[in-house]
Parts: sequence; structure tokens; C-alpha cells
Amino acid sequence: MLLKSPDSFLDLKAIFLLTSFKTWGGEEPYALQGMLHHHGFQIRPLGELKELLTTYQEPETGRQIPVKYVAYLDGDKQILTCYTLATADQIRRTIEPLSGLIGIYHLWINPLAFDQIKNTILSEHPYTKIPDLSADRHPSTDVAAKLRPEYRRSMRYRGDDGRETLEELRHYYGVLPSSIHFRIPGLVDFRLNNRGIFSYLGGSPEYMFEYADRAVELVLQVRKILEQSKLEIIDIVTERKRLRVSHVVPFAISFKRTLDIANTELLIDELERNEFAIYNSAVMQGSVYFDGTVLDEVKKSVFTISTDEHRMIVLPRYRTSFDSFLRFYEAIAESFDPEAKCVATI
Amino acid sequence: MLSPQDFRRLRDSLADPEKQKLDDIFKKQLNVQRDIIDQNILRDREHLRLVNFCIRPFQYNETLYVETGYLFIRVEPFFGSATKNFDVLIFNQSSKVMLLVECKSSVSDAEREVRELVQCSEAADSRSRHLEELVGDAINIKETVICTNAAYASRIKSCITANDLPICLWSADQTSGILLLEKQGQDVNAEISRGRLHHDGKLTRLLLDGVRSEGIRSLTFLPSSHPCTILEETITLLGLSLESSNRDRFRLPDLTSLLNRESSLSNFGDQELWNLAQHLLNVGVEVQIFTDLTPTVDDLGRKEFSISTRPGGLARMAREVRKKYTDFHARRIAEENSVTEFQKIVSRMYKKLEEYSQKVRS
Repeated sequence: MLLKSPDSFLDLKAIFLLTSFKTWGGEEPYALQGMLHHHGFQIRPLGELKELLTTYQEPETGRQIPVKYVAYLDGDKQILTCYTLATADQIRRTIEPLSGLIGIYHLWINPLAFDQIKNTILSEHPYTKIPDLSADRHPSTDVAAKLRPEYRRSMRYRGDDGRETLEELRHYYGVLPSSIHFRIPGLVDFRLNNRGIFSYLGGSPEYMFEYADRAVELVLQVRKILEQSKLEIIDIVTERKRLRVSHVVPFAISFKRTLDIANTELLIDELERNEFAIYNSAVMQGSVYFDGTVLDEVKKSVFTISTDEHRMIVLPRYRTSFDSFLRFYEAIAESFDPEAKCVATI
Repeated sequence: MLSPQDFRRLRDSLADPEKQKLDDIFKKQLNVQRDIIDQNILRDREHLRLVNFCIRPFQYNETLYVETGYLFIRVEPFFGSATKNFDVLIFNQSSKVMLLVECKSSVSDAEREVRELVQCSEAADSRSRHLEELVGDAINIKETVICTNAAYASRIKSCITANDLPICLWSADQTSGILLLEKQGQDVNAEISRGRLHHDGKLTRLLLDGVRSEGIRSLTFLPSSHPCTILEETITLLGLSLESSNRDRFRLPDLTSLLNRESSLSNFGDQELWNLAQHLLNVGVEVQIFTDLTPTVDDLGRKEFSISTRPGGLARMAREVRKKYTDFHARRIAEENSVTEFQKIVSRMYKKLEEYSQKVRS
């Protein structure tokens, strides 16, 4: 319905947010609608959709700039999709901060999944061009780089040879893509970034949404693993007593790189930089065991980790939710091991 | 015990060269004491890791519970009493067999460890009713288990067999993730009756083959853990709880109810939780992690406290616990030790001086 005349929606962005909400709810602060309202969004019903109107202060002029979104909540998948013609900067200032709230997180596409989507597009449409891309390097990752690997890098490349350049940039500068503009001749032009924002740039938009669906499915697979983990109390009734025992189901993050004493310290530093405070921890030398309790300072949750040289087992402890775990996984993959995988332990 | 004021008074009374000497001794002592506390905390955490490794297969829905019905019930069944404690209580509701497990992450004197365990086991026999109350059920058989890291298993095994003791030995290979029951003799029936294999044939078979375990951290502390460990764990949860309810002060019952939700303390009674909360408050106030806001109120249940950390959020709070605890205790012991050492040096010096003056006189 939004896309009856595609040309008028050039540069339309679809922003996907994972949520813990199945409905919009009312004005209560723990409901989606109430939470958005509390964070400065005016909400107007539009049938199945909602119009979200907010403002931000332009730093240069001090003026309040209005920004409009049209949002759809998929209650089954618990995904909130916000459509807008706002600029990337406006999105960064208005909707992206919602990822800091409890129960909401951007559709972060991990580097392996991002690579998978890119390869799928390129193999299904071999003539696809990449005219524009952004790529980053965190020196703390172990991605090989021929040139000065110790430098943090952020690159934007424009040119019709982006497809080849992406490989060259990775090889020489050790950067991984964070945003790619795909031009599939005769079909569609769109940009995908690893924070779950799809930008429509021309052609038939349904193709963009087809790939958006695939990206969503890949992220939902990860979310499913995170949500299976739990710490619940089970009642066991004996002859004269009701005992309470814990039922614990952890998940694991398996590393591509081997954890040793030196990079365990690096990992701890990176996690702390991403506002995960690690305490009550012990690094046991010799066989490299690293245990600790983690406080997610943003999502206000607590979980425990237990690590050997190949994987980290993560267990909920206090108010943990999928968004806190996803944020944690993102911190590890983005700044330590891009090929780290989230795996179920059951 | 020497108070900080005593130390300062003594220091102020000294002439500059002696003051310098005392300061040098104190600095050295402070580093030594900090290292000792750090080592104690680390040893405590290695022990906790072994306990977690040991209980994992016995947790709800895990291998040994599903296959044999043996379920991890709680830690430290004799917490708060004079009876020497075991680390873990495991119970089989159908056969009414209880396993009392002691975990040893390192062993320096195997003979002593094993002897002490036998004493614990005898003490447990005399407190069967208490154990029955804990599980709310009759107990047909109690079995004593020592669980140690694989590297120490053979030393423990020699002691058990040499002294013919009724102890099952579990060896924890945390690197390969296997928990194993050590076979200590060939005759299975004789070993069962000697208390060195489990009465439950299936449990014995599975453990002899080795059961997979992961060192997941489902227990974040034991009640007997280093106070610093327990404070680090609880203060964050307390801080989050206060933050979410928009409060900045709490009472002992708040801490007790927080401990009541703590999975590390499953199946602890109200009195045990109250005692532990009281202990934490005392330690916390002593090292100035908590501030007593109502010093004139005597009723502990009505007293109010706050978390005394500088602004900077919960992460800083967790980090400060360790620092404050270590600084306080390291300083206290270092002051005592440095005064003793200083006095020894001074008395030696005076003795020499006296000997010299006697020589001169004679």
C-alpha cells in the first residue's frame, strides 16, 4: 500500500527493530506505545499502521526538526518496521536511540549473516553491481590486513567496481562491510546496512523486501537461540517439602579465533568499552578459563559467562532479555571476532 | 587489635628516620597483604568453578538427573552451624539416597583433606535429622564424595585406598569437560559396601564411563565464599533493584528478599538468609561499602542503609567493592604487621645499643 507508485518513494528507508512486544498496548510505560510516547513520539493510528512523529534539535540552529515514520508491528515475529523518507542523520538522532531501551534492538545483522546475504544476492544475480559501500575495521578483531593492521578504519567507497574493491579492501585493509548499495540491473537498486536499515533507491521495491525478509529470517534464527536460554525455578515436591531447583539453559558463543591470556584481556577491554561491566571474574592461567558476571549497563541486565579457549557459555541471571544478549553478541562480533557464532546448547 | 588511630599515633610519635623506616615496612606489607587477599579470592573462584562443574550433570533436566533421578538440591547443607560443611547436597527422591560432596580445586596435603572429610561425614551422620528436614524426606543411605580436579585425583585415591575409607572419588577434567568416578578397587560389590562406589548401579556405570559437564556459572557464589565475592554479586543486583524502584536506601529485609531470589541459595531457609544478609551488611558497613543511615536505631530490621559509592553508576559500584574491601583489610593487617616488625627492629637495635654500652662500661 505504501508502494503504489515506487518513484515517489525513492530513498524510502525501512528500519527493522526487534522488539519484545506483540501488540502496541496502551499508554502504560511498559507497553510499546507508552514507551515510544515517553520517548517523545506522538502516535496516530493509520489502520494497521501507526504514524510516529517526533522531533530533534538541530545542533547548528537549535531548531526543532520534525521527523515522521510510518510503523508496522508484526506481532508474530515481534518486529517493528518503521518506514521513512528521513535522512540517515535524522534516523540516527531519532529512531536509533530506541535500541538503548529495554525490549527493543535494531535488527543487527552479524558479519557472517551479512556476508551470506551479500553472497546470495551476488550469486542469484551475477551482474549485480556494488556502486557504493561502507566498511570498517576494529583493530581488536583478528581480521587479516596486509597494510597497517593496527589502525581503526572507516571507509566509504563509490565506484562501479565496488564489488571487486570490497574484496581488495578486505584483503589489504582488513575492513568488513557495514553498508552495501546493490544495483541489480533491470530489477532493483537498494542499500542494506548491518543495523537493519534498507534504503530503496529505484526499480521494483518488492525485490528489496524479499531480501529484507531473508535478512530478518537470519536474525530471527539468532534471536531464537538467545530466547531459548533461561534460568527458571522449578518446584520439586518431596514427602514433606516443596523444594525449588534451578532449570538453567545457557547459550554459547563459539569463537573462530582461539582465546588465550592476551586476547582474553583484549576481549574484556572491548566488552567494557561497549558498556558491559565484568566483575567477580577470574582468568585462570594455564588452561585459559575465564569466568565472570556481566552487567549490561545499557539494558540493566545481569548474566554470567564462562569461557574456555573455543567458546563462551552465557547464562541469564537477572532481568536478561534477547536484546541484551544480542547487544552482547554484537559487541563480541564487531570488536573481537567477526566470525563468532551464536549457538544453542540444547 | 591495633586501630588505625593507634597506628597514626605511633607514627606521629616517631622521629623522621624511624618514621621513614615504618613507612617503608608498611608499604611492603600493604603490597603483600593485597596479594594475599587477591590470591584468596582467586582460590575461592577456582573452587566455585569446580563446584559449578560438579553440579552441572545433576541439575534439573541434565544428564544424571534425567538418567538416574539424582538432583542437585543446594549448597552447604550445614551453613550457619558448627558442623564442618560439605559443598553440595544431591538427593534421589525415589531411592532416598543422598550424596554429600566436598569439592577440592587444589590439594596440598591429601592425607589431611581426606581425614577432615571423614570427620565431616561422621558429623553428618549425627545430623541426619537436619538433612532430612532440608530435603523434606527420609534418607536411606548417605554417600560421601570428594570431587577434585583431575590433576589431584591420584593423590587422593592413594590416601582413600591406603586408609580404606568410605569415600567416592570424582575426578573433574575441566579441560575435556568430563566428570568421572574413579574406580578404586576391582571387586564392585566390595567397593560398594566400602562406600567407594555408589549403591546406584546406573549412576556408578555412567560416572565410571565419564559424564559430560560444562563449567557454566549457575552458582555465582557460595555462602562461605570470600565476602568480597558475595558483596560484588549482591551489590549490583541491589543497586539495580533500588534504581528500578527509585530508592536510594534499603533495609535488611530488602537484602534478605534479594538473597531469597538468588539461585546460588536455592532451598535456604529464612533464618539462613537472614544470617547471611546480616553478615554481608556487617562486612559492607565495616569496609564502608554500605553506610548506616540510622545509627541510633538498634532494631536491625528497621535500620536503613545506603550504598556508599561515588557517582558513576552500577559498574563503578561493582568495581569499587573489590577495591574498598581489599584496601580496608590489606591496610588493617599491614598496619598491625608493620608495627610488630618495626618494634622487633627497634628492640634489636636497643639490644645492640645496650650490649655496646655494657661493653663500654666494662
